[in-house]
Amino acid sequence: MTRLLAVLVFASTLFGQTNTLTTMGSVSGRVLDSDTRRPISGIRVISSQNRDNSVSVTTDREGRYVFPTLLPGKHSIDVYDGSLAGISMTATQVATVIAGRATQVDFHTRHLSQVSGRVLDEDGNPMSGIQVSAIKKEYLGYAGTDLRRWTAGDAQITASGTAATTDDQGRYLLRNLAAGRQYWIAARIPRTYTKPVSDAPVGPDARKRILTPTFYPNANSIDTATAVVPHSQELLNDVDIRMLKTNAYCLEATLTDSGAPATMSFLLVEKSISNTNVPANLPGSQMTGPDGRIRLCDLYPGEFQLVAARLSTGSLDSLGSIDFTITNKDVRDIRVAAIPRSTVSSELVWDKQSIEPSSQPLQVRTYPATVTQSSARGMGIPGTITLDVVPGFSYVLAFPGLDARFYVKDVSYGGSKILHQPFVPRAGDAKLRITIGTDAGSLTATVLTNNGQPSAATAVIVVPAASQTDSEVAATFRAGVTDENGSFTQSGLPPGKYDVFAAIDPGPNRIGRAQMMLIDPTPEAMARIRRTRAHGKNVEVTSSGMTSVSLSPILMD
Amino acid sequence: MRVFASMTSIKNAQLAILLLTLWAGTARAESIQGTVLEDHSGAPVPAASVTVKTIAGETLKEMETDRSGNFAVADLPAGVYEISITKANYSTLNARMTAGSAVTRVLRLIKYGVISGRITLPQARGTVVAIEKVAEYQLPRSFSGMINAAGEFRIFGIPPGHYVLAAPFLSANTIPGVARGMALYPSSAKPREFEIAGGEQYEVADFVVQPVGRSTISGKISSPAGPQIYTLTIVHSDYPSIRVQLTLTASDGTFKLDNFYPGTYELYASGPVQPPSFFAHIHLELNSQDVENLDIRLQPGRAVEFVLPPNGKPPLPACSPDGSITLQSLGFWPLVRDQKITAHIGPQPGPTRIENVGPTPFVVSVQSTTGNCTGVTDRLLDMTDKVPPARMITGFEPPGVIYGAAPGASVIVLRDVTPGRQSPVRAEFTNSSEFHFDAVPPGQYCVTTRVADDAILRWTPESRCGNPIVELAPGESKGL
Repeated sequence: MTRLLAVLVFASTLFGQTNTLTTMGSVSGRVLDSDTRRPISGIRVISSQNRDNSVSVTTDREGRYVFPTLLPGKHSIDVYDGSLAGISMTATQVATVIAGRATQVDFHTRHLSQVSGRVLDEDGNPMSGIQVSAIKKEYLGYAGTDLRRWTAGDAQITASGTAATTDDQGRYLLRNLAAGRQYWIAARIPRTYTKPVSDAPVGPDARKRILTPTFYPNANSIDTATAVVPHSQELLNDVDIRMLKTNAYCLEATLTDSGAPATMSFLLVEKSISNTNVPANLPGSQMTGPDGRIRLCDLYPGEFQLVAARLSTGSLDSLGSIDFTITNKDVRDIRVAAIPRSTVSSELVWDKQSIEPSSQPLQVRTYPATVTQSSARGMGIPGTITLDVVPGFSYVLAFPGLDARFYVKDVSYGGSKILHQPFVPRAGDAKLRITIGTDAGSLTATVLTNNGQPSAATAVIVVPAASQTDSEVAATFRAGVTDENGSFTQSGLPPGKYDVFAAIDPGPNRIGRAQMMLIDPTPEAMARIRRTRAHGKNVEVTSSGMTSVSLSPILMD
Repeated sequence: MRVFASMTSIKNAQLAILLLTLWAGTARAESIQGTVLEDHSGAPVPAASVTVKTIAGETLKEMETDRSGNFAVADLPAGVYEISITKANYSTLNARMTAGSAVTRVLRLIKYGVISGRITLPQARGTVVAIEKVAEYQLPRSFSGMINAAGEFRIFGIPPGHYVLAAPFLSANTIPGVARGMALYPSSAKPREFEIAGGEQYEVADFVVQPVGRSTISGKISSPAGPQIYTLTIVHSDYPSIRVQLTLTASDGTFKLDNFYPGTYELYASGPVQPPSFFAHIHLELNSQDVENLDIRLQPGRAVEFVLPPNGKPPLPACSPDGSITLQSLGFWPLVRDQKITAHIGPQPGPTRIENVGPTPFVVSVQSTTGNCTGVTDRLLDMTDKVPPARMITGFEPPGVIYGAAPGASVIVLRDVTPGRQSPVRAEFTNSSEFHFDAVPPGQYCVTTRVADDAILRWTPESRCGNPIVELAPGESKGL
């Protein structure tokens, strides 16, 4: 009886299997690191046919994943990173599942990495309680969800957000670093001023020597430091930093608000660690004494920015800043005047009079934000919007929600053109005028391999011919990934000439919605685009036109 | 020099400055030399920060010890100075030294301890915590170390004290299957006590948490405010600073939490969510059994008054006649208001009334707004009592003094051993065998006497204090 039952069960399983095989298909493949081609294990791959029908699997030690039974049809196969801080998609491809057939989809992508090491003093003794962070260099600006970047000026130095403190053996571990890109590992003492007026001795000779921010292995700036490039799931060991020491100098300053010394917030920015715009909420800012006085005595020779501000909930009421350099003596009698916030009226217009008012509201934002913009204030075109700004500060303008058919054709302030330049408001009533172009064109690139097959999941990079410097390229390039037919369409392009090319490896990036690709705007990535664009095709996008181009994928220089 | 040394007992700092200034012009240059050693090993401590201040608080010189732990300050006017020595991972030392003696003094720094090891857990994620052993109704300190991918942890920077090692299963919300609770090393029934006196490095072999039966608790919370979402916090009874659960009930007040590790817990419930005005407290003993249909009825919070004695005068001119009261909850309440309540007291007559205090034990501290005076009051306010005190009387007292004579000794070391507190070690080098520590806050102290330049004898005995612990009350002047 028992044996009979077993046979019956076996038979029904067999039939079930056969049945499945005839109506279902499978998708499998490998996920490999773009830089090293080593397998990426233990990361999540999700197959979805529609919103309600998704399956999640994890790659094995060889980077393999398998979806054994998928319904026939098109499936999106998405690869996700495994950060604890948040999960994001790193690659996506479309697979066509055919009943009874196995489809192979391989990925070349990058995942998170780690860097560890020790911090040592001049004599090689371990240093405890030192803050270690990964510093990166990027063309910054507003990188909103619509990927319209408005970078300003040179590549800027900024901390990556991952930081660690050394333990009693001087060890640190930095987690969740992006793979395949350059980082400079910096060690420093966190600057917290419990007393705004230091009681350090008057003479610099009577003060102890202090530790300066030191970059791996033993440099005082990223220019002379050694960059590290961790690869996917790699733990880069022995990134040991030997800290530098210098004499300590004092900064004595008085902070004023509306002309009078007052208790207010101050922030000391160390330019060797960060030279970006300060965010609106001044993270890490501290309070002056009642007379607006500060005396900070742990400064080393180098460049600094001192920011004075009055903060209230959600806004900067006044702001001022001064750059100063420490050489070999104290800096005294500095006055920083915070200027009250004011407004600039901004006019939004169409480039032609005849266009009907846009139904889709457009936002104009400044970065950094002077006032917390919690609710998105949209406006119609034509229309007027008021921006909260502090005169004299440098802002980047961003236009989230701009319809893909349109583009920002011109920006002028007080009559001067400032398109793709920083916006520096002045006191007075100069107006900002933003002209929205309505004759955007589109560019469709079809990427085919040498044997004429469609090249899926390949990057297509579009650069205006007029953008020559790396900074200009960073502000204006667009990128996307081809679909399963090897096709990608970029809309919203201002009419003009473009260089376009298809790249097998565009460097570290993120995939956004609608086939958008956000390439990390690093100096190395921009230099590679600049060098490779000559091997692409030069095309003209006409007014409201649809241009097509056929490309073959190339290796970037 | 002797005359000047006795100046330290004069509290008028301005006079001291004046005298110092007068002396500076005429006295010959003197010096202070020292060698900084690790207390437990006697090894030199290089690159320690040394700050030289006058008794009045003016910083004269900063430097670091050299490779052999030595420092020297020359060109000082004769007199007594406050030397402060700091280094990461060591207790700060504040020492009074006299400029002029040619002797190189030995100063000892207490190194913080380390507990490291490997943990085997069903879900080995999170931290391992060293929790200080404290008397009932004291707030313990705790120090934690992250568990890495290999299950290893390293807790460093543990100051002197007695500790137990805990693996807390923390859960901020109801994830099914995730254990909640706490396990002690090596077993919750018989936890090992780790003593840190300076420089200990404990290696814990295999911290194994056995999979055992888990409990489920369920029930319903109700209050006069009607059915709604309430907040639930569960802490470990013996270690109330370890919160094992913080969650919200369903909108009808029902809750179900599974996977509780065996142990004793305190359940606190409050609501409506913001601000809480109704509270309840339940003691739970869980040993693999399920606790079902708990019926928790919240009661309004109760009021407590603080009052200064009539005609109370500030004990020192520097101390203001008003101050602030802080009630720190021993139970880890869900909402900030009930973890820590602060209120202002005085100088106007009449009581300060704090409304709506939840049923948890609170540690009370009162501090004058300016100056350094401490409130005298019962340290504990137990709102879990059926009839908690409705009124507490407080009055300000100045910091205390510990003084005395120690014949034959030339360095006297004062260590604050009040559990839950971390203060710099104080030392006084004396040529007269007399010592005088002023501005000592109330608490428990260990006073040890040593031959100043003994490079062998530690300042911290292996046990917590070689001599009886000195209990100092607010404003007390204690002679030894």
